Amino acid sequence: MSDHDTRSRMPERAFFALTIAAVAVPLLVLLFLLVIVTRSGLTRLGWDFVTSYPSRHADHAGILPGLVGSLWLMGLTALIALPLGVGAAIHLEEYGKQSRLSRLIEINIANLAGVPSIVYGLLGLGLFVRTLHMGRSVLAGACTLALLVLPMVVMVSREALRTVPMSLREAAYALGATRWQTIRQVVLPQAYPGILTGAILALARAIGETAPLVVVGALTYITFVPDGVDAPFTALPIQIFNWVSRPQRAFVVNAAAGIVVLLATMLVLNGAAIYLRNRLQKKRA
Amino acid sequence: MAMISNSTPPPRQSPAKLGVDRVSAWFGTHQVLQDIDMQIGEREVTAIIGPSGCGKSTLIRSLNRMHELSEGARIAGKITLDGADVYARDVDPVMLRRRVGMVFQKPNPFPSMSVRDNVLAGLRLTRSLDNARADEIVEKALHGAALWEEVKDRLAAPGLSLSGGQQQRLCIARSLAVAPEVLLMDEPCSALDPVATSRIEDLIHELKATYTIVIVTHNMQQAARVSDYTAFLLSGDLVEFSETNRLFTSPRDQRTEDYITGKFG
Repeated sequence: MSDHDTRSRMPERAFFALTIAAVAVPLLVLLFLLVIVTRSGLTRLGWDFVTSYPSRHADHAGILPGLVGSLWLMGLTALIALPLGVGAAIHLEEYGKQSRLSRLIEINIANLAGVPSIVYGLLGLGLFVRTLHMGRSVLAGACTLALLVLPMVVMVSREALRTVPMSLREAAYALGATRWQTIRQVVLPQAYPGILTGAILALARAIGETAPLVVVGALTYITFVPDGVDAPFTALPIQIFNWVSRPQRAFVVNAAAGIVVLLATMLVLNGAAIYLRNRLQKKRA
Repeated sequence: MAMISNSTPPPRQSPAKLGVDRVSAWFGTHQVLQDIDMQIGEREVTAIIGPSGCGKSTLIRSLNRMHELSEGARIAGKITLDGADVYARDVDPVMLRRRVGMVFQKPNPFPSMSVRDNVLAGLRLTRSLDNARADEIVEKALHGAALWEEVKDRLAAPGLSLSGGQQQRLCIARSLAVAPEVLLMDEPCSALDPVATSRIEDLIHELKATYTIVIVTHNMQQAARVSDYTAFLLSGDLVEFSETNRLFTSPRDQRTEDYITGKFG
């Protein structure tokens, strides 16, 4: 009997070990990256590095334009992609009828999320930079990144709207609320945490994108920060890419320090968004 | 027992508040109601009974035009409120629902709102409100739903922190705050324990003085306890509609008798 018991528990234990490994492997890889990058960039990390402009001399070079450029891009991308994405999701989910067209749109949006980012870069170059005469500006870059993350924002927002129980919409309708009042005051407040999670993921993806920005024309060496949406710009990953490709060993140290700054920026943005989400959830519960 | 046509109107004391005239309803191609005729008297409680899937929920949901919100839902025939067709072209279902309130099977207070905000939700959703008047409405509606004494010290607590029975009475208060004329209740006690159920039933007796009530129920004893008139629905047909007393003591239709004596359903 006991023999039988031990045998039946074997798969249980094996599965448990497997899930532990699934958690540990990515964590260890990430830890490895963090340790390597921090150790090699340590000599350059400091307030000076964050507040200085790039330079021919590796030990004077800083990341300020890249950092400010990335923050500009994030802000503008969020401003463009979130209203559009959430708006589209509301239309498809709350107003759209279940039809073949809506299913077709759904499949297409999912496909768009898988299009390589370089393709979005080329689209941005043709549409925003040339046709709409935005030039190689931070606005053109943000528009391109907004297009890139839009499918993801739409999909995640739809998913969040779907989790709001039908009974709450019915309760609002039964009280004499219009569709818009129901969406704004009952559905959206319930869906915000989910939508915000999607926004975090989308913006985290945008901040790390390099290829489309290269195509749209982000500069690699600028000694000023953008002073408006039409200013030329660079971004953190572009600056890092530039430093890594320099032959001098000292610039590689800068690249490592740049990666630490990029990761820290992402952490701060995500942390802020998660804090916001938890506050919304607490209000909800 | 002789079959008497159900179109013979039962004797009425009060004028009809709601009229149901040859109403049929469908989900897609599936017909769920066939030629229903009913007169629902003002300030009376009308119960709709019948086995699962007989169309009683569809019938009550067609009274405040909630039926049409479902995908593929369709309706034919005429429903009148105070004699006016509620499906007429110029009737806004939103305005209709402010006159005909509804309480659902499962208590569904708004999860992000406090007790107080839940009561005010219907008013806040639709118009602005000053605070002094709001306090007055909250107290009146909660009194009306027999919940005031239990929650007066925790108006700021989340609506979901109340017990199931309290949540359902909160939903009733929320409906009352909009000042409807008719209150539709779709199996309001099916998710509640017997104590909470009897509180809601007591409440229905009190509300009857002010409101016209239509209640769908699974529970025949409940229909017998709370209603003045009872309608028995079977597979989308209105088998019998008469005074509750009469329906339960001397049903005119064999099928009604079989159902109330527990031979099926």
